[in-house]
Amino acid sequence: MTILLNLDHRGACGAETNTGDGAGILMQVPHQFLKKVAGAEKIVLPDAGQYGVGMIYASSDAATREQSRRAFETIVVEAGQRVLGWRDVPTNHASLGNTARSSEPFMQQVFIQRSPDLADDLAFERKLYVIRKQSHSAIRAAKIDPYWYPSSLSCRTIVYKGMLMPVQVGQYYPDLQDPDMESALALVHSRFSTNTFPSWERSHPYRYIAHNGEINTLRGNINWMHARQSLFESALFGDDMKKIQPVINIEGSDSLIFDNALELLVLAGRSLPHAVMMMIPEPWTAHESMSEEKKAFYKYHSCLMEPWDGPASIAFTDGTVMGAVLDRNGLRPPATTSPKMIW
Amino acid sequence: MLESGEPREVHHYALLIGYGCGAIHPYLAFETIADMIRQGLLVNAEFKPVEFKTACKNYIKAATKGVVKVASKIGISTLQSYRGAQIFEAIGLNQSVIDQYFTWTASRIEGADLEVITREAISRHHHAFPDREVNGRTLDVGGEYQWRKEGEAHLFSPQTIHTLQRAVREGNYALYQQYASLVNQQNQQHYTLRGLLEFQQRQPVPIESVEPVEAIMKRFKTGAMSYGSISKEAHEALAIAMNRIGGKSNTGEGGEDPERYTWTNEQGDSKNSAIKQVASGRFGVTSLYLTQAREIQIKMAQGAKPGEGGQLPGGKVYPWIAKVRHSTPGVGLISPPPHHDIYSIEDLAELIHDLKNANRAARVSVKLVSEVGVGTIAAGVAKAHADVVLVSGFDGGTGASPQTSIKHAGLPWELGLAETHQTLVLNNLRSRIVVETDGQMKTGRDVVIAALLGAEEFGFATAPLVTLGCIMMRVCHLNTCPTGVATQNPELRKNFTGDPQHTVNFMQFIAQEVRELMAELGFRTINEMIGRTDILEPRKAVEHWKAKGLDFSKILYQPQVGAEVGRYCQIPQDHGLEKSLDLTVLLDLCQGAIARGETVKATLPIQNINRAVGTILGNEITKRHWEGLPEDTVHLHFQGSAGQSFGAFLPKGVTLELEGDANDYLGKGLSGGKLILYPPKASTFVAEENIIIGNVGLYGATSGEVYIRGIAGERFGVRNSGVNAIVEGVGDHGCEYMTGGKVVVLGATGRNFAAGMSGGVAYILDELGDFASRCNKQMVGLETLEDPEEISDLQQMIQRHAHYTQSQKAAKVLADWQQMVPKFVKVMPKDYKRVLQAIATAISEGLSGDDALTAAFEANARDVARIGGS
Repeated sequence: MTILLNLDHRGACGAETNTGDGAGILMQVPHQFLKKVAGAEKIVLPDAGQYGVGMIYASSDAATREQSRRAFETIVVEAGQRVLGWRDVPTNHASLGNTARSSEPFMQQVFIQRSPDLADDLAFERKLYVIRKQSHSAIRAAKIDPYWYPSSLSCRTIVYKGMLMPVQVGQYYPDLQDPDMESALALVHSRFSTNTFPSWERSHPYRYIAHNGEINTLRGNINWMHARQSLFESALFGDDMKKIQPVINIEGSDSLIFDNALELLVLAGRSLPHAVMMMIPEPWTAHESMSEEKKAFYKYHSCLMEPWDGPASIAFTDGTVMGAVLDRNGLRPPATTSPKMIW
Repeated sequence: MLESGEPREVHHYALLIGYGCGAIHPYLAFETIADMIRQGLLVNAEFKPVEFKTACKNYIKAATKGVVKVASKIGISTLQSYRGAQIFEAIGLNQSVIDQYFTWTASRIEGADLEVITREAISRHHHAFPDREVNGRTLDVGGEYQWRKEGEAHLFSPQTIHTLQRAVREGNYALYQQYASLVNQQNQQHYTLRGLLEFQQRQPVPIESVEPVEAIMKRFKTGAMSYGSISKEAHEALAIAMNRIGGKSNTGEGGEDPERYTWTNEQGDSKNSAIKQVASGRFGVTSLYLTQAREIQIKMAQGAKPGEGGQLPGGKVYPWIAKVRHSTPGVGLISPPPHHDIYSIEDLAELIHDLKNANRAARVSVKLVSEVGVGTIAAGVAKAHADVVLVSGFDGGTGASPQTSIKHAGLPWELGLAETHQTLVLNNLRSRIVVETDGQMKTGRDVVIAALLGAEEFGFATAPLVTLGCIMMRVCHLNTCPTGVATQNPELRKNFTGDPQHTVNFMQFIAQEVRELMAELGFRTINEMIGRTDILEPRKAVEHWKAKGLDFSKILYQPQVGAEVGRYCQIPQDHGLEKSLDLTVLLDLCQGAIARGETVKATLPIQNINRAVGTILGNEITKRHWEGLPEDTVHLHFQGSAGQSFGAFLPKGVTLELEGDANDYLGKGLSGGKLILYPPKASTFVAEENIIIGNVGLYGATSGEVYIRGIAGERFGVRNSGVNAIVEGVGDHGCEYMTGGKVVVLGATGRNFAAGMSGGVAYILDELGDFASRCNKQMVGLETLEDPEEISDLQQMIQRHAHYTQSQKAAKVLADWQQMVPKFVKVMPKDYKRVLQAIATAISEGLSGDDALTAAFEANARDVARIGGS
């Protein structure tokens, strides 16, 4: 949170000095914390990893919310999983500007128990992904709840974000002040919107990435994803493959769209670094010192996907590993620092 | 895969690939080549017919290179990603055509449907294969790029040029009106969108109640044309004219001779350009240059060639051009396509912040090009605290722009301006930023339409040049301009007959026409007019069959917002400078140095939220001491992690010593100051193995000294034109586009070192002997050190490094100096070396100073071996 605060100047606010372009934090599912707060709502959470948690935007109208929750629960049951319960996430919008307040969603968490037939974490992540995708079509696209937006639904990670300024993230979500809120890793982001307008949804981090820069080839990447998706097949997904379409949410910014594609590649069985290298290959053809194996890797994958190109610095995590990648020309500048720097 | 007779130009291929084509067979292009060979129209240097195969190969090569260039302009580096990327906007196509054939492409004014397209295809076919045999020429003469009799129409025709020139020379408003009515009439004949709009009838007001010509002219600017692309005479005439009327002229990229800041005459004229441009090359951008500005313009893109860098061939870098650009005569200069300190909007915000620190009194303006989505970007620019945003139309630009760019890149300003104004109003940002537009503004009517669409300031480029004698020969890039406007050739410059008063007359005429139209439309002030699209309506009688389907509703749309939302600029931006370390601490601390040149020494803490530290201090010093102060007058020792742009534009006499580390853009535009960096004394890591500063250090630095104990990030020394720096390792792209100064690297470099480096020298301590594989040798040669004087200079520089930073690496190198010397690789730009040799020859022949430079320049211009420009 201190990092986020000290990078305040990299984000932006609009006409109001208290409505930010967006800020947030992604971290590991904080089991101790969730166990405590879910317990207070009479929800008994199983062991860590045996449940998924969704951070879901919804309408502030209770009746609408009731309807969307029921619709969501139906989807979960159809997917063979079980909803353990809902938690209304406490928020404090005292410091928010009018623009942010006027579009502020209701924040809620849902807990889903993993069914025993799912072989591993990834199988569960895949189920949660299918549920999330279906809920988008069944609730958001079907106009049951225009605010419906799961910013995360995972057994590994959770995202707290919004149309906030860095300083407001901790104020808006009192959860983040709790001493039990623990994670071995965190990804923070403060947004300066470029080609789309600020909104609660378009704040970062997304489910896997936080992004700084621009994807210049976006239209082409969307077109190709669109053209490819009817041919998608995966033994891991099986019949669920049809349920996740459209893969790309074209309402999103370039960052969300990139996240959409990355997520699919990861859940379809590639490691996270593998999928990232597939989407943002290095300039490999004429590289004088790259190994032949790596060149072969890039060559093979160039048959599967065109590069997502443009000045971009992307930090990514699936809650188990973390990494960062630069665009092929090294245009965006990421920096690393080490605790060995002592003043 | 497409087989077609139609594709023939780069734009056609780019478009086809952009919409997914995997291969193209342009058979008619090849057949045409064969036919031209048969007719003897294609001959080689020996006047022999070119081989058909060779000709086709050359054609394919040119077309391919063109497509790659187009892709690179929009920041796409592989054809695979360009294919299907649909980076196009359609102008004048009906939505039914878009949905079916160009799905998801933007088309804002509707237009031709399939029926119209069919009709045009048939008529063209008919033209080629008429029912009856006809004699003589049957095909159009063309004239897309240059005016031809009976060819494609152009806004500036010989007739309009002549009429305008007579009007301004004679100061004859009636003649101007004749010119304006010719142009406005041509506008109507479907050349421009504004020509298809007309004013509604409104209750007029007496002309006396309309704001005066003088007030209107303050909103006028001339376009950014660099001293280098146009002659000294033309450049200065524009500055004098604009200063006379209280408008603003623009330096363009390439610096300005400080003599122009003080020059005056009995009329009280000034040659100081009010707008100082900061472009990607950063040529001549110093603390003094910025301090002398009333407005600082960041050129993000050029309307006529968006996404492209510039190139000034060696033959045009005359000694006087080289002087203001801080470069070497005869050595070509490259402006990189991007600003290396701006890859996304928050970087732009940083540059705006840095420039505002460099001159708090100047407005900071951002020049964008009219394209789809420009409104959203302009909103970002407003949030980045720019004071002005310029939406530049596609039809600006001199004859030096590439032809594909002139014709097919960028959009008319009407579209970009309308979108910008609407978006800013919608987000309540319009009231805090001035909106300016340019692009073939020629008459008062053009200005009024621009105001109604949302602009409050207006730029003119081609027309003012015409008032100074330009006759649109379109040879700007050839240095052969017969009127002395766009040439550096001293002989041709003698032909220059322009007088600033001619430009003044033009501006007055324009303002007068604006005023008359305002009276007619019932407006007393320009501010009242801004964004009043309700006064505009599509011309009722659009005669042309192809223009019938046009729909202007998106351009004329008025956002529904409350009365409290401002529609023109009325609130100053909050730049947050009062929170800066300079204003809270440094200025008070250094008051004695600023006012009286007293020495100041202090130790202070620093944090990464302290950005552009030292820049305001530098500005205050430069205001009073143009040449800076004596070395080390101010010596500030900081402890901690410095934020971005540490020491940006720091002038001579200021030394910033940083014990800690620094973010990106260290020493940006360094203007004589000294920077010393080393890790905290208590830290435990090995300094020369760790990165201590971020990326893009010393971008556009012009003079000064830098000592860094540790490794620098990527692009260290990019566009350095005069700083001497020592560092213990650099990332990729080190010394890119460098034109002067010295960089010593006591360690490894990343890949692509010295790309585009045309001047200055770098010394790399290559202990492993593998540096050559990481160096881009296109423009540089690698040498060993032999000259004893040079070796001794290097040794002294490393001694200073050891002294200032306690570097252990430097100590090791110095301890074993004789063994180390052969391990240094000297990176020497080839053109630079040739010119230095020519200067040495001239000096040995007894010449000195400017004469030696001129002789060297001329000798070099005759040398065919030059790389950097032909």
